[in-house]
Amino acid sequence: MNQVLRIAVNGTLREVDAGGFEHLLELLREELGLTGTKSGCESRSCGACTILLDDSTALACAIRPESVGGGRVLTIEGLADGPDVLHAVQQAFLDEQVGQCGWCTPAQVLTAVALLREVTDPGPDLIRRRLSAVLCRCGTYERAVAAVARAAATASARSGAE
Amino acid sequence: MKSGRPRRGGAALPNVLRRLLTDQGLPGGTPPFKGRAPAPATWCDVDPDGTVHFYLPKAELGQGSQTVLAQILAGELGADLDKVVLHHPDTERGFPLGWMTVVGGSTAELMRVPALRAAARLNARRRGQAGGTPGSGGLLGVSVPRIDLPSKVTGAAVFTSDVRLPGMLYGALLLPPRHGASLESVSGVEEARRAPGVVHVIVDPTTGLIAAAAGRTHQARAALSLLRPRWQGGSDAGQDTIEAAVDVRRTPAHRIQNVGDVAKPAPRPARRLVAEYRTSMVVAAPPEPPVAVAEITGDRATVYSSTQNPALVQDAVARALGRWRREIRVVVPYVGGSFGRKHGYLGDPAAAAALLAAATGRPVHLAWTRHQDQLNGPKRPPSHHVMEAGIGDGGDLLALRHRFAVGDASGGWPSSSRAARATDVDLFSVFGAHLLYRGIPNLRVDYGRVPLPSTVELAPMRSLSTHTNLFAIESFLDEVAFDLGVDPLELRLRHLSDDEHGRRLRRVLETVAAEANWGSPAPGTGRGIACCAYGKTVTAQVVQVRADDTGTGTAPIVIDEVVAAADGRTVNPAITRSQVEGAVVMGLSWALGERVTLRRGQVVESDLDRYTILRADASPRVRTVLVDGDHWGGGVNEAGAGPAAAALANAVHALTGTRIRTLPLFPPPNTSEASP
Repeated sequence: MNQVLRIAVNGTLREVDAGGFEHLLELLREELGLTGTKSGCESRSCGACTILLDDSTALACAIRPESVGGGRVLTIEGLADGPDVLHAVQQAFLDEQVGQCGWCTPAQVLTAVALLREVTDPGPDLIRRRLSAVLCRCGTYERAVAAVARAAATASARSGAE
Repeated sequence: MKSGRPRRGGAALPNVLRRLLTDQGLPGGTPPFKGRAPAPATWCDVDPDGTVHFYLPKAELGQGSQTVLAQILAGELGADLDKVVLHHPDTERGFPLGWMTVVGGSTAELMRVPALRAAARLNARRRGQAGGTPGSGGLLGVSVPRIDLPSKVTGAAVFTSDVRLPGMLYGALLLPPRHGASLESVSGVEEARRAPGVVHVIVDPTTGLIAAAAGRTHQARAALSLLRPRWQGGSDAGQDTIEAAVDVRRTPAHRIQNVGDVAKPAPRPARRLVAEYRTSMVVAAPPEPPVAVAEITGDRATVYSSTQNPALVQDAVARALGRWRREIRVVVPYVGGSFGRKHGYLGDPAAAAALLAAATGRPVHLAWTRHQDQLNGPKRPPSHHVMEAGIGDGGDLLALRHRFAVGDASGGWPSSSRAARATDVDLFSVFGAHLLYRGIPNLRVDYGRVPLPSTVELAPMRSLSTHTNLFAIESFLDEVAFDLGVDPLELRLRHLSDDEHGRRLRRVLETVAAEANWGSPAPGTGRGIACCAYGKTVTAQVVQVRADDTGTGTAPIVIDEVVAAADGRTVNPAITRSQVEGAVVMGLSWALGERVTLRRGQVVESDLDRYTILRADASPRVRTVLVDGDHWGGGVNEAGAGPAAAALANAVHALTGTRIRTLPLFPPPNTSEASP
């Protein structure tokens, strides 16, 4: 192995070959086996490789592994709160039965998570705009918008109850 | 050659297509399926501890067939759906490859009866009885949640792209720059073989295959970039070549519907209306690009394939390796969308993956890139339509004629030559072409088949030809209505036949009209209506648009809402609804701005920035009404996309007064214009 690169993925510090990967997407999928992040176009168009980098969405195909630095990478595999406890957005996607082929579902979910961390009560227009970063060829957009609104409502109901 | 023509998988689809046409009461039908349904144990078995296993014949591409089939079987067996273990299609333990294992044309509905029978026989066997008659099927008509979604929201669902085997290499392909180009010579092969991480490079001048396997995908690609191939020949067609070739007036006609005499209707029409329509090539652009993983151990090869037709994949791999088909195991994990693209006979990477695996002795993962799929993947055939109406003195519609020419989508189909000899009709091209308005006394449809084998690779896509044929027919009905000053809904209803067929269409049309409050559109909106028959389902849609006042989009309009109706009983109403929604969105996306053009033999729209697919910000609300019926529905996945383009074009006309007769309605500005 050449130089070692340390990178925090889903709360674990991983050591990988510093020059070994074309982009973060290849590192995640081919080295770390985190295949929930999909490779759909590698040209920043489809959004299927969306991950969270320090709470913001980023495209793993557009990031050099060494540029992550001390940033925290979160993939879909690291999102759930525990083995049997889904994140509120994942639960909302199940409640609204959003997915079909499921290829873009992780990217839609993470896009929604980032949005809700930034804005607690996004309206449908903002949800739509953000979800536009992820192409869904099955056409599940309206269900996804409904799921994100549901997750937002659930979160605000919970915080209101506290 | 050890393996011959693909057996049932290849031959079966034309029969399935004929069956679908027969379901619509259309000509071309032959008796659908011969032979017995697979034995109960093929579908399911029960472990001593009571665990029920289901072996699914069809791959789950997103259409929900996994859930629907599981609920049919579980309901009949009295099994707890949560405790059922589902198995993806696998030749090792499951269905013999054949028509049941093909995903295409929305034929999953055809599985309902054989599945029920199999479960009933298993029930009887468990009670020590022979035979077995299906019971009430306790879970039919119930919207059980999709079984696949929990693993899809956590990222745990394994697609073929996600298969990881010990010691696995990653491959890459170098594809010809133009359709039909042959490989003359390649230099740089030794450099490529010495490139970092590279384990093997295949250069086969006979087949034109150029592929590499390496430790990482980027290493395999880097190796291929060192090669300097010389390609010879191939298509240099421009967009004008296609449009000149696909022309009703230049194409011999094959009559596929003829009622009365459109040439000399009696009474004689006072005047005629004529309009021409064109549709462009589009691509399916499946979200998961075509991919396969191959592993060879001893005398067996195992191929994980993202495919709609494992039989054809098995055949291709057997041919490539020079092995018997029975030595090739095919597994189909979750498929990341397909929409017709992964039909298994054009542009499938499985055989190349198997050759790399054979050469390296290690498992190989091989995927097309998006760029490659845009450039080299098959396209939906372009079409040209001439519509003609004969109108009587009293404004009644006396004759209706649809003449169309369409690129041949069956060219790559392994058994097409036989099908072609039998009928002269490419069955993929005639869906939606027939005139549904049987209340009109004189009807004629003339179909022209335009083979373009040396120009571009064509294949059928979701909705088959329904989307394009209905764009012409249902747009024209609106033109006639506008000309006569009759409401477009009223004109349609007036000319439906007074039989079951007409009554079903009337019902879905009236349903969407009522649901959309057809008579009183909101100010500033335009509405369009259209209907469709496919397989066992009829559908209708009302599309509502308004002007795009932001001025940011390519289209001058925004689609507000779609109201869709589909008829027929359904196993899982929620899944059926979601399939209608998805089909509507895809149909609208094609109609709005999807277009593939050629310039000197190359596709201009080489990526998803230039090839514009509808995104969430432009996607409408879709309200779906399922109209219950006495019959079981089937084909909703295709029928849902059928009316979308025409309903949209009609809505645009209602809003703006402009009639657009070309698909897409609003092509993106950065694509090339007609000159080569």
